[in-house]
Amino acid sequence: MFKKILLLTVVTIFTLSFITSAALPVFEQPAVVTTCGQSPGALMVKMICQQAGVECEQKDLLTAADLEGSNYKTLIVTMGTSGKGMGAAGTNMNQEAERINALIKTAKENGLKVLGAHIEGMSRRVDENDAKSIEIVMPQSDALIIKESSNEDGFFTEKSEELDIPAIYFDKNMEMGEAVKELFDVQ
Amino acid sequence: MSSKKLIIIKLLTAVLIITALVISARSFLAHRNYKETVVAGPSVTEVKTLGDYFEPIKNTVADCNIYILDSGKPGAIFFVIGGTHPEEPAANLSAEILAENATLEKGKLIVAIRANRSASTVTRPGDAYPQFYTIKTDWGEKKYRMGDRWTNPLDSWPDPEVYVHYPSKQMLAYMDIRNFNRTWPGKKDGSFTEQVNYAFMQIIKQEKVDLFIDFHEAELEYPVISTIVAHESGRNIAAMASMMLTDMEFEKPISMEFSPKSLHGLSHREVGDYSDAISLLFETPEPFLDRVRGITDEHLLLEGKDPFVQRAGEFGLLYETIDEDGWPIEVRVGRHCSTALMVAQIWNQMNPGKEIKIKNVPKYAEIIKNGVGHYFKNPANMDSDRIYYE
Repeated sequence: MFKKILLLTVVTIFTLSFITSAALPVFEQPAVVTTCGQSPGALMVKMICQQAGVECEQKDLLTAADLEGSNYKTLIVTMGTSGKGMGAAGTNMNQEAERINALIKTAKENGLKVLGAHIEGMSRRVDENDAKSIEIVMPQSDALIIKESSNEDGFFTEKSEELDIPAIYFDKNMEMGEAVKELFDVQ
Repeated sequence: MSSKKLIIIKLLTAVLIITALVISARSFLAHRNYKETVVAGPSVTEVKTLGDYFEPIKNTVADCNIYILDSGKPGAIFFVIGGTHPEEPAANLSAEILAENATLEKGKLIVAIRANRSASTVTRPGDAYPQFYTIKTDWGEKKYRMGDRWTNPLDSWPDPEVYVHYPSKQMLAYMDIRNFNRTWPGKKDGSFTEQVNYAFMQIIKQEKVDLFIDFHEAELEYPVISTIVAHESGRNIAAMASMMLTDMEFEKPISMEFSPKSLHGLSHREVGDYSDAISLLFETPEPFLDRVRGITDEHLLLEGKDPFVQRAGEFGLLYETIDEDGWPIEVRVGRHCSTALMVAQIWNQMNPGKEIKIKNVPKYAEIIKNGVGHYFKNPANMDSDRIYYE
């Protein structure tokens, strides 16, 4: 009995250690993931979701119109930008800002929850485009999923507390699956 | 001044100039004709040359070796090239490690060590590039030609006012008509470098290559660094490889980037567009290439340590971190070798029944521990029929 209590305590402490004080909402499936800045983050989220058993579609250029009449329950938006990615997609940061703002507005109007994600480390926090991407997505998110290496300077910890947005952190990419399972309440 | 004195001054000047010309010409010739030794590894079943795939290249300065490592068992065919830009030594050294060490248990691996051979016969004297560099091995030092980014002007001259890429007609910088990574997919009757690219495309098509890898290095001031650039056909493989390598092998992460559809001439775009092969390009950091670097010598090339580049990092001017440990050649070569192996591993997971099994290629941690030269064999101990020259 004592061992079970001890184990439960350890698991609880471990779980709470990477969740901020604000309560995490439960996200529902199916989800759709897009990127604010055309980095490969959305692709990575989709692949991790697949492995975690969470139904998730990736649409890098998802628009507000695509959400109308859809059955998505969750919108995931990755933060961090790629110049090559925006070039590949034929877009730029201003257009991305416009698209994502409209998308999140429509998502909320249609009852979708918004999950902001920064999962590619400090290499997606190097310039003003990256900062703008975070500035757009973070305050409009219902919760955040953040890679520890993206938070080396404690920026996301500080900012999420300031905005009172719950955040879940993970260290290794392969641990992201566990965080996703927790967010979507998948056993 | 009397006319006699003037004549003497002119004669002395002429003698000085001719002496300088002779000395530099001998130096340039020695560099251009220097041959690097490669010991064909256990799985090398055949060594062709580029001219075997496109006759006009045969016996020209561009006629580089093409190492075929064939398991004899059906599977995937990978093609790895180093030496696209010979001023990026981790690229040709990594390719050489593959050619000398890889054992193929399934599928086929094709390797070109000096893809743009002409560009390895010229350096950049105006930028104080060293002519040669040496790698310490277990049996002595191995000497390599340092090269340039562009094809030797002796082989391709003059440059146009504007380089118009074929077939997109995109206008690019004039000197990039000699940039092997701006001239894909090449042109049969095009410029020297375009013909070299055309020949490489013939290899990809004739050998039915499934996946093509182009090794590179980049300055830390450049945003596309420490990454895998992927054609859309290779996005899933690149994404998974970057996540796995960052988690499991590398101290500093490797990311991935999508190949822009509107940026032409690059391997990650054109090889994917003009063949059935998935095309990936790997980048490692090379502080030697940074414009803010200090003394430009072999030490910087191989150790990757530079206080000026480091200082630029402190001011947030770089896209990759650098500390007093720098970016030594072992780290850079290790990243290329491990990334290639990881891509193969993920390919195998995604393509059951059409795997490639590559063994005996050292990974990142092993290369850092043992050094790059540890994986090069002593030609003196080998049969002459296993020795090739680059």
